[in-house]
Amino acid sequence: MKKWIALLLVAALAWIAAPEPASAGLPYRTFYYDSNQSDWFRIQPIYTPAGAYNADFQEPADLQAGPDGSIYVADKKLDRIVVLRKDGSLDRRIGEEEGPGSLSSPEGVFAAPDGSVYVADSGNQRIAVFGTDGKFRREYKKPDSPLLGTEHFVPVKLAVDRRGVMYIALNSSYQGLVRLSPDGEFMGYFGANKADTSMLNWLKKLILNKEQLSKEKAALPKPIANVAIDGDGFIYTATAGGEGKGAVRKLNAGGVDAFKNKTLVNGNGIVDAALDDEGFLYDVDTDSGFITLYDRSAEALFAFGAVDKETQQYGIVGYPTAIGVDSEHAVWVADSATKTVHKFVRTEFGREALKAMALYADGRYEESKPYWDAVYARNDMFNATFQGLGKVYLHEGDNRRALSFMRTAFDTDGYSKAFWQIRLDWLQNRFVLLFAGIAALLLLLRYGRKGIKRLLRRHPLPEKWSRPLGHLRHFGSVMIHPYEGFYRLKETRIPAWITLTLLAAVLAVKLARIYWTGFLFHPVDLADVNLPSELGLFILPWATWIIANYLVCSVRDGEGRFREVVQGSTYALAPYLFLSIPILILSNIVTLDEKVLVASLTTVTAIWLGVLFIVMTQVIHNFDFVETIKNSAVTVFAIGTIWLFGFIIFGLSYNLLDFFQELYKEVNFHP
Amino acid sequence: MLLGREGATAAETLARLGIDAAPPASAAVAQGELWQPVPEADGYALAAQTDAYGLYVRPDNGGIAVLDRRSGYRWTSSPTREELAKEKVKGLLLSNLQSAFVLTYVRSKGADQTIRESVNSLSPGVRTTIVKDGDGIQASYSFPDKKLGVTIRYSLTEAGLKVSVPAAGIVEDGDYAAFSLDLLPYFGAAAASDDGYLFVPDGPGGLIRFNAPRAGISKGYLHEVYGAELTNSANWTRDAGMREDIAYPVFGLKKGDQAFVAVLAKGEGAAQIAAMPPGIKSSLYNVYSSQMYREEYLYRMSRLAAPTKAVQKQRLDFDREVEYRFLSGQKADYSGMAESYRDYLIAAGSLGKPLQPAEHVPLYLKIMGGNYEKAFGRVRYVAATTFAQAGEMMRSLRSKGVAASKVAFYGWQNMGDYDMEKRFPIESSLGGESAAKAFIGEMKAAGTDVSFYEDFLWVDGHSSASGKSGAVRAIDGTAFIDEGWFMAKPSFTAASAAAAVDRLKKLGVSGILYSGLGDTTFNDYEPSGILSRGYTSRVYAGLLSYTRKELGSAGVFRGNAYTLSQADYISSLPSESSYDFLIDETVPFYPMVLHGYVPYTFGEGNLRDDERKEFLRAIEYGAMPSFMVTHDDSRKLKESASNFLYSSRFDKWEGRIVEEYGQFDSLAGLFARRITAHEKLSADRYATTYEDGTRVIVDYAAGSFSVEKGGGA
Repeated sequence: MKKWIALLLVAALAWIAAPEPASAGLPYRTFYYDSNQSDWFRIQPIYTPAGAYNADFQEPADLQAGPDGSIYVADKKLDRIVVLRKDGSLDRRIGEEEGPGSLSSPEGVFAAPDGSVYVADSGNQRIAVFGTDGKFRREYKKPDSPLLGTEHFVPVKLAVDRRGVMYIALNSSYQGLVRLSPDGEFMGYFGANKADTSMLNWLKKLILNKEQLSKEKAALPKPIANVAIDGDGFIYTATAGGEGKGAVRKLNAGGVDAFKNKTLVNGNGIVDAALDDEGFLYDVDTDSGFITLYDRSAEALFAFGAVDKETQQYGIVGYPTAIGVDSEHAVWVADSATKTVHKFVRTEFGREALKAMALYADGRYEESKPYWDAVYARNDMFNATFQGLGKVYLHEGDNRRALSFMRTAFDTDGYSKAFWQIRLDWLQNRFVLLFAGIAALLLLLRYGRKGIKRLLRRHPLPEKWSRPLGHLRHFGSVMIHPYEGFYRLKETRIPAWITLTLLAAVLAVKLARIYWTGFLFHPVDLADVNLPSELGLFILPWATWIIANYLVCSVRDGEGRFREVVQGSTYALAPYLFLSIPILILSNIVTLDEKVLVASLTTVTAIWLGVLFIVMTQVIHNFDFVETIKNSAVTVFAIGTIWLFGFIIFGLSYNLLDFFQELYKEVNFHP
Repeated sequence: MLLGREGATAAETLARLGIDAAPPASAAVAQGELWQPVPEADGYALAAQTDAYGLYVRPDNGGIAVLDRRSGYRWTSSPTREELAKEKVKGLLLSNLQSAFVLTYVRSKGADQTIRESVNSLSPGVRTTIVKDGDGIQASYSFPDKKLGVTIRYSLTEAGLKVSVPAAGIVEDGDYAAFSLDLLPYFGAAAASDDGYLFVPDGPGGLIRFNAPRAGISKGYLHEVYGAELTNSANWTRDAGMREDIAYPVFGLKKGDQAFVAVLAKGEGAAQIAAMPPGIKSSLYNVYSSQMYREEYLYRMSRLAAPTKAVQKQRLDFDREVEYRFLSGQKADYSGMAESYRDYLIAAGSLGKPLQPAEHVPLYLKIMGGNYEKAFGRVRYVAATTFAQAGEMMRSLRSKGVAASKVAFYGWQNMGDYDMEKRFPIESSLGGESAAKAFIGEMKAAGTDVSFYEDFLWVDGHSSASGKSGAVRAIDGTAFIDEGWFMAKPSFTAASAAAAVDRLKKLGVSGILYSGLGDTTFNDYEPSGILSRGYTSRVYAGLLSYTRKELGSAGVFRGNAYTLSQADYISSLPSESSYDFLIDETVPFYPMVLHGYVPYTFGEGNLRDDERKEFLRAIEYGAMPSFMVTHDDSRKLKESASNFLYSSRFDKWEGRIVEEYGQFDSLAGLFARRITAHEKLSADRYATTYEDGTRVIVDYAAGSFSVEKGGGA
């Protein structure tokens, strides 16, 4: 059974073999990313290794799956472009002939749809172009432009658009891609990364003087590591570092990033990115060690493979330099450590899952249904299926089913849409009934109150009930007339049991909010709710507020006694108790379109609470307004201090505990 | 003293269960007369002879040769002089090529105790003593400057050559300690231009062809038999790639129409099997066993300190023996090797009785009852299949034509895997003992055996059992506890398993499917003396035998060779390679050894990575049909440790089970037959031949298989 536990290991730990007997199957694991839960889960393989091909490579530096179905590989050490067939066998070589077409340390290759092959011929500081026949056609040297200045023209990667405009990444250039016209004219820089604007740099600018600043390393934009182009002419740049922020950017002709500098999961160590004809994005990342698939908006879908420089197994790449996807969706990875090109092919399950996802992305929900069904038949743990099928059911008008599938997938958007429909149907069917119900309720409120009053007049409650009832009623009136309410509260001594009852009622409301808030506003698995910590985090701030408020105010000549602070702080919770009820009800009947209702009520509650606590401080301690604000601020600061202190105590005692535990183990288990 | 359950000592526990874990008697070092023959022109002298073979030894350095007297072919421990002349390596590597062994040692005193150095029979200062010892020859080498010594004994058997290294022959009198011994490293070594292959025990069997182009080889094949040591944390963060552990201690070589298969007969748990392509240690292909005497490990002084490397102090002190079995002509291929290994196992009593022919093949059906999950702040059991539902499922299968089946029931323990030492009473949400009894009784009446699945190796932190006395000692001397789970000592496992067997017997359970016993073995590094993997294996085999005696049957996973004589069923037998660059072809060596003796299955039919390929692989390799199902949606188990079951709902799979069973059952006539040959007909077509002449031809491109009937099918 122990080995099953290991299946739960998250992606980051996947390559650390747990102490378990190794067994069966592929040398790597496959995971899917659940964006609704922001977590990786294991799944059966999407891709399997098909082989690692060695056409006498010495240093495969770049790779592209050409439009003709061949695989183009730039061999930097042997100064040539090698073309492989789809089965990995050698087709031909380019750039070996002596003469003007001879290459020197080529680091990038691009096969254009017209059959010509563009090579970033780094050693010769040029772009070399070869024809369909493999014959050298022309070259592009450094264009004559003052804008390029003294920068060395060492092209390393490139992409060419339909018009023949070249987008060239120069060796460690931070200025972006060089754009060259088909005539070789410089058309400006394109798509430079943003400079690093970290907190640290901002702080440095604030603190350091000019002289010191000039000694600091300039915060230059990161160089673009690789470049790709899709069928619609979007340019994709790959940039490593920055925890995946802007790791892949999708640039239109104007250089605007359609991904909006998005943080790419598994993007920190990105080497290269590629696209397939269905719009899926693939990257290979040395940091996480995965080949990752993304959807059209760069949300991670699947991760597989592994990176290990000592690799001796198919499917594990040593030092990846480039990635490509061919027309059959096979993934190719150039690997300079093993001097090979790895090929991965889709499994049947992978084909079905990705086909379903592609149709889903196109909005062709009806067509995607058989694929989702096939995926569901092979895996009922995969959450994307529920989202996909949920959407299908939504389109079919099967809203109840859609609702349950969306809920399973934790897809709040889809859930909201299905819920909107169901609510509409419900309202349409029961409009009269609903109307009658509301009318009846209003009447009941109007006449019921009168009735109760009359009843009380006829049978008055016992005398000893009147005071406690007054205290309870007071809880409501504090909310509406805070000054008056707290003055009266200051004068009265509320019995402890009343205070406790009120606190219990507040806690009960908190519980109700945890368990009964509508799914749309609390999309979590209720079974996973950690009740003690939820309640603790609710009570702790309130309790520290009382202590801090009492301590601070008694030092600063506040009049309030401890009992009064407790009383006041309890009564100040009234808005939470009363407003939670409409929030709870609304959260169960509104959709995301009307979420502003719930959000604004929540905000009102928060403001109201704040006001009550400040008024309470002022009244109980008999401060003037400015004093109150000051002392409240000091109280908040004191709360922070108490917490910090608590953390330190906890941390220290944890270390001490750990020490004793180790000692115990040493004594007991060590011979 | 080691304590088992209820204060009984380990020895008492084992005695009560009738398990004999005593190690075989160690061989003594012979003190015979010096052997001083007159060598022939090539330097060798005849040392022993049988009808089939002649053993030749070089008196000067102990190099050996075996003459196959029927074919006239001579196997040598070193390449010929001409081959050596072509060799590009120099120094130690060149002298290793001419030696019958390479002894690697470390310092046992002072600094740098992890630096490894090697000596061989050509090292300067070596003293070689060869004595005649009964039917064989014993060569002792001593290295006076290091006060190290090793003794190797050669003798002829009916099938070939037996090479042994007695523990008593290891001498460590100085500041040096033996680390490993490469035995006959270049025996039969072949050049890339030769025709043939190396055979290594990767997955079901792996071939390394001599003339194949391949990519990026920087290391050879070097892996420990039965997997790396579990308690050595240096083994956890090994290469990124997961791999298939070695299940059977065998390697081989085929060159032209000659071949050998070598079986590690003694001390195989402390050996690595090595296969080297040209360019790593020489320009030849060679395959051999590397006997381990000590292991390097990582240990931590405290949780904060970085781990340090160290080499274990105690030696793995037991005899080693490798038997080389020679094959020639028609038999000189992997099919012949499998046959020869099977003959070896039968002669050694390590393979059970042949199976009886059956009218129908059994469907091995695993049923997951359920498991525990944590929800709403507590632990609760999630039932996926009750005993009553299991009964319904089985009735449905039978009515649809599944004529024979065997059931293994999972998750029957009280709260599933929670508190693993508290197994009883049987989980009430599944129906409890009465429902279990009813289900088992009904199945028995219909001829279906019901086994229960259980793991008795790993014990969780919720159980009352104490890791202090129950856990195996790790290589660094501490009790081995990982994230709260501890690995039980073999005697602890035996005691708790026997207790469960005794209770399950009353329910009528007909066997246990054991996790761990067939796929995990380890050394217990007791300070008073290492209890070796051999001990662990003997206890496990004894437990299997006890289970068989009490309940009727015992099943294991992977099927490590030491369980073969006591297992009625092997689940998850290796069927896939480890995807090594080095291995060019995967062949059904192990299935060929087992077929007709122990039924086996591969991965579950509903959890395959590639449905069609794995189904055909099972047909090609002679496996039985196997599925793992639940009555309810497997999604119910998402939050439990059983969430590896990503698709198992019975009504989703029933059609497929019935259809697949039909296909397997069409081969029912072969159930008890041996496989005699296997060959690759073309890129996608393979043929498996059974002893009655029936051929099963599998075509991966067409996705189908066909049967050519032989005499008896």
